[in-house]
Amino acid sequence: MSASPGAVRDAVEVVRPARLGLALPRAAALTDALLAPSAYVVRASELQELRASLLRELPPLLEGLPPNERLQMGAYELLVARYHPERCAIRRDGFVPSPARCRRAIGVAAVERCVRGRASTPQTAVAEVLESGVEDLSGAAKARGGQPPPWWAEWYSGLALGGRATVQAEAVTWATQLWTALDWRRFERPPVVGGHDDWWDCPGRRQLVVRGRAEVRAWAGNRQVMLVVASGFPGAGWRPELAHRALVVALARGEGPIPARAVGLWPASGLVRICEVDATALSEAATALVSAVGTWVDARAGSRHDGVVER
Amino acid sequence: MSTTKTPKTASNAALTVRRRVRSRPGRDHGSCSSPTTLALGPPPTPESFGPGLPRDTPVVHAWNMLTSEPRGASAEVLLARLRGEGDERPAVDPGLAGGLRDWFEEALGAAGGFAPQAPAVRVTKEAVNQVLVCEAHAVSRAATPRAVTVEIARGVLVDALFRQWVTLGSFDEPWTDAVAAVECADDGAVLHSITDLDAPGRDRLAEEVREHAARIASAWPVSSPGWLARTQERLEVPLGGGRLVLSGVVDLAFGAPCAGRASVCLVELKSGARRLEHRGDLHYYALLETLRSGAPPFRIATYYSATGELDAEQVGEDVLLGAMHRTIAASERLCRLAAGAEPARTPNPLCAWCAELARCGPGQGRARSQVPKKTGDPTAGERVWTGDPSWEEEEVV
Repeated sequence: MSASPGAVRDAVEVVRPARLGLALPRAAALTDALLAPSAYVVRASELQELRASLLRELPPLLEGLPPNERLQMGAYELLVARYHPERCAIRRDGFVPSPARCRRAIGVAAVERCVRGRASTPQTAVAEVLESGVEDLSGAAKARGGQPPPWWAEWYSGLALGGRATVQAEAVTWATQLWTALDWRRFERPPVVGGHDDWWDCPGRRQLVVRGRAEVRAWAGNRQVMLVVASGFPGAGWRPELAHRALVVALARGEGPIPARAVGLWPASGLVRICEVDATALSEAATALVSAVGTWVDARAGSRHDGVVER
Repeated sequence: MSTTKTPKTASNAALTVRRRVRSRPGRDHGSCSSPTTLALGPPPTPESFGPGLPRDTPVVHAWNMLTSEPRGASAEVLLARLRGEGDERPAVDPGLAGGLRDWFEEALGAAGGFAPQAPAVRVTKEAVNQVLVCEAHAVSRAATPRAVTVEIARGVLVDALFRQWVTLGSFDEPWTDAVAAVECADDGAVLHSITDLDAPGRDRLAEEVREHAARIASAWPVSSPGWLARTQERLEVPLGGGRLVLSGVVDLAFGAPCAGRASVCLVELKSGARRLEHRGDLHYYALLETLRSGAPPFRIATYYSATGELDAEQVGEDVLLGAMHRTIAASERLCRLAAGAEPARTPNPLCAWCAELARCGPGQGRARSQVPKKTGDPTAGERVWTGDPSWEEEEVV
């Protein structure tokens, strides 16, 4: 999601591309930056304090949410709350797939194939992912007890050739940007591309679930590092937005090492931002989460009476 | 004697680039170099650049870089020209992009473009073209809702087919494919414009689209996966902390990212007639790609699907500096207008078609005295131009 004009106005600081930007080839520099050892440690006591403060602040906010509603707070919802709060009141009338909405799901599966050596280029890999998605839909695959088809497969299989080509083209472009952004030979352990999202259910308040998503998860020593691919360019709130991913991991796991860093890549602008995960970054992410939940609850409570629906 | 090497920082690079360009006579920020070279025929002589340009001026000779392919060129020839076979891919100065960025920000900062109270501005190739022609025209266009003409619909449909060709290397039935692509992308305005056509109009458009598809299929190489082709690639370069955003969407980019030598080729597809602004558009994209990726593309090209012609050129420093001057000049104006300044009115050949004409004294004077009217249409001078590019072409080319 691009930063809105409002976000742009907020971006008072002149954000410079990390000096990575001057090093060519960039893939090597970015990979080195992603995998570098981290000097930052978050103490268990700091994490406990953070969790306690979230559990103090979130439940009262959620009391304003209509009882039959549930909030799922991911990176997108954080961005909407920050840059387009007016959109929080719009109720979407069902999810409709589109080439732009499918490209990430297909793209990460394609890059994963490339990383595992099952395809040589994103173009080939995307074609294979699409084909296998349609195959998974077939009765034979279901009868064999194969894996369930991906969420986009049914919609995609119903498209005419021109529509399928558009979906494929979007995914190839997205996957190629990710595939060429990193030097995959530099990973000592194979990274996870896509993978499962992290989820945290707010204890005692089942109306709130927080989601963290990263495109690539790798390891710097024994600590996880994450690469996040976003569209447009980084807005003023890039740091808590990146740290949000680490926060969800920390909240969901409870104990154990938390990610060392989250690196943001905005291919459209070529910009990279590196968020070293320390207590301050997690605290900023927690503040942003509380603020976003407040914005969403206010909007939902207000729109219950207005009935704003977008189809 | 020993020499000390100074590290080449972004600012040093900017200064170096600026000194070099300032020493060149005959440059102005509003023009691309030698648009006349678009014409087919013998290459122009250095004198044809204009009387003010000395013979030894180190301008890159555009006719060596820009050549037009005869109609019906084969896929092999077209590919060779896209690859720039015979031309060495230039080494990339790693400080160039940072230097250009610094220069841009300094220039715009000095013009007040990044003042805290200044509104955010998004710059597109269309905005650059419009505001450099006439500020009042640009303001009027920005305020006019997008009107989808048959030509624009054709452009969207052919773009979709080109994307399909690059991705799949095949068509089923081009018209059906193109409409399905537009439906899938949920471009309601274009879909409505197609469904609003009467049956003969739709048939004509379908036939036209099929002709473009046939030309693409016969002349455009089937893309190899190793080219790493990206279609409809979005470029967004925020400057001044995001107060100004240079943006664009490139129809096709291919080549691996730069690893020391320029390695990316950008291609724009045009379904309409050749126009003067197309080179400026490409140069603008070359600048954006340089700022975004840290390396200029090695080649930029416009493919005309109506004729099968390809205009391709190398990206030298001259191209980037020309685009830089032009984009800075346009951005300064756009920032000023966004801050509420009164738009300047510049009479030009498009005045007769400008939506602002009724309120524009200088424009009326220009339209009545010099702009040729459409033959057979006595009211042509009073018609409002709402964005139909085919109208522009008649006047500008």
